[in-house]
Amino acid sequence: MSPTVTIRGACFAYNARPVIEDLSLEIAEGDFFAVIGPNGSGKTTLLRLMLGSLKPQTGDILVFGRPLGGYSRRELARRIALVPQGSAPVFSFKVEEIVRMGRAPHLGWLGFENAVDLEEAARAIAAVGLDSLANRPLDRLSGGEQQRVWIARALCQQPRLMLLDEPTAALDMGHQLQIMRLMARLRRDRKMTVVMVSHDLNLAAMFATRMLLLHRGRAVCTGTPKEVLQPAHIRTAYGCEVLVDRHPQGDFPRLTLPVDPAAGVTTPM
Amino acid sequence: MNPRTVDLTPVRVLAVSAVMALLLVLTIVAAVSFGSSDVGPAAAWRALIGGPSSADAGAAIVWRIRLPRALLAALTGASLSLGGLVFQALLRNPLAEPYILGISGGAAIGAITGILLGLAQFPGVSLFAFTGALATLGLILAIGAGRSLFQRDALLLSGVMVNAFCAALIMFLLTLSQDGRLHSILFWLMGNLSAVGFGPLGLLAALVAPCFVAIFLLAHPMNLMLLGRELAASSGVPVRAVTIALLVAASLMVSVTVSHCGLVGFVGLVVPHLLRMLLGSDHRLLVPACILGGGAFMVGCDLLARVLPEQGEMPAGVITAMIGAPLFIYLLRRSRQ
Repeated sequence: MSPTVTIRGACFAYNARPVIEDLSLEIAEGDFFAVIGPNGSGKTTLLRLMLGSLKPQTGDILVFGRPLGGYSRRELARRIALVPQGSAPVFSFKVEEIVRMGRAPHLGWLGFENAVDLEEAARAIAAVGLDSLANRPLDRLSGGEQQRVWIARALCQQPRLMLLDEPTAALDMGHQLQIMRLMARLRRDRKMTVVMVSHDLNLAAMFATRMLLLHRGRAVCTGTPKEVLQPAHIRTAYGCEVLVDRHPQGDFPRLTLPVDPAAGVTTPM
Repeated sequence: MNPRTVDLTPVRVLAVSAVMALLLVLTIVAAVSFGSSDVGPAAAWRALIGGPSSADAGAAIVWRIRLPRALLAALTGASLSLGGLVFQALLRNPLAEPYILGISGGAAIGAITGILLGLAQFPGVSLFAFTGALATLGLILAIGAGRSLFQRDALLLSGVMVNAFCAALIMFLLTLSQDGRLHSILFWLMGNLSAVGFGPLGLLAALVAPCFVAIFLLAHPMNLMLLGRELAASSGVPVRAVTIALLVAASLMVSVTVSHCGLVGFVGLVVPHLLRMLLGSDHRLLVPACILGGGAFMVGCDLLARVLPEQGEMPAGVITAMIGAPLFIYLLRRSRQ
């Protein structure tokens, strides 16, 4: 079976500024794939390339074995869904209305939902546990709840590949964990491939099956979290030292920031 | 606290449209029945049924003045409200209104030039105004021929700048003009719905109707684009094509309208907000509601503008703001509770 995403020698530049350079990558079906790297390393650009909203200047991107250019917009939207770094729209929509918009690539030319569409939306809302809030305006929800709305909206497209852009960036610890567990469960239940851009290396280490570490648009390392999250790689990409040990409850790495010996440990005044 | 959402089906759209259409018909009936002349409702109806060529004393008033004026107000209200709705969605800005891209400025310069040259209202001044509006639309599209236009703030800022430039030019032209023409110019700038013939009215209807249909067919993509351009694109919306189609349809519609009746203000800003508070944010419902409800609002305001003053009449734009603003604030307070 062909991999979900195949990238071969992709280069992309905004005007003359290269952002992705000679990147090759394979994401297998069912992977929970994390894209990590420092600010400006090209993570979001890579996500846009996979989404087809940007086209590489050189190199090929294939999804489900077919070049991106071989799909119509609608065909692509039925296979790949995006969970953006969501913000509430200027005009207030209800949760249910937003989730139903995920049916867009399945609707007829007048753009109205039929019974199947409504049922699919209800299923998506139930899958993220928002049944009781379905009629609330989005802007009355907490950050974690809003993030679940965007996930439900993407689910509604019935994609085989879901792309998430820093889904936990604005959330507290408890909600971060909740979102990651939700994604792990959805990936299993719906047999989806999940690609996630993340800044939180420890969280990514716990949930990702494979990861890519980017630095200035190039791959530093691709592999399992154990292979990628090594002090040398982190030093190359982030320019800082980390202590790496093993999570006390599982076989994945745990990163800890070191104390600067010159500055010492902060003590109470 | 949270009533169940009523599913948005074509049946619901038709039902809401039917209510709005009824409202529109009622306001037109009222607009035909009352006026500053002493033709009362009964006489007006006899004249209406008698046909335009009847010898009845009221026939001229009803068929030459009240009915065409009510129909012009309906078309104006419809297209300005819909224009406001489209620009608010396109620019994702609640303060957007149909004139925001500078169409008003361009049209005004055209119209003032026409008036200063001593042309008749139709077709002379209208044609000049329309040309001016199209010129600004062309300018906006040319400024943004690169991708950057479709970053929404770039579009907004270009519009504000074009408007500012036009405002300066308008002031300059005003200082050049003589007393009599100054009055015509001011009336044009405040919006003037005084009767046009059925000919220009038919032309207006024929030009705005296709825009109404095109915008309705793009209602669902407008919903998605409110969530963000990237999200819309990833849901299968051809964002660039839809943006250009909406921009051109709305601008054409507004240009044709203002070239008939001048810069009727406020209705394009307030009606979409009023209807959003009543019906929610779904454009599949808001597009037909703006067309019919915006028409009804404008006909009602124009009726008051004709009837209220003891002598003469005031510009309809004055009434739209005097009624619309307090109504808007009232609904805003209520919806926040």
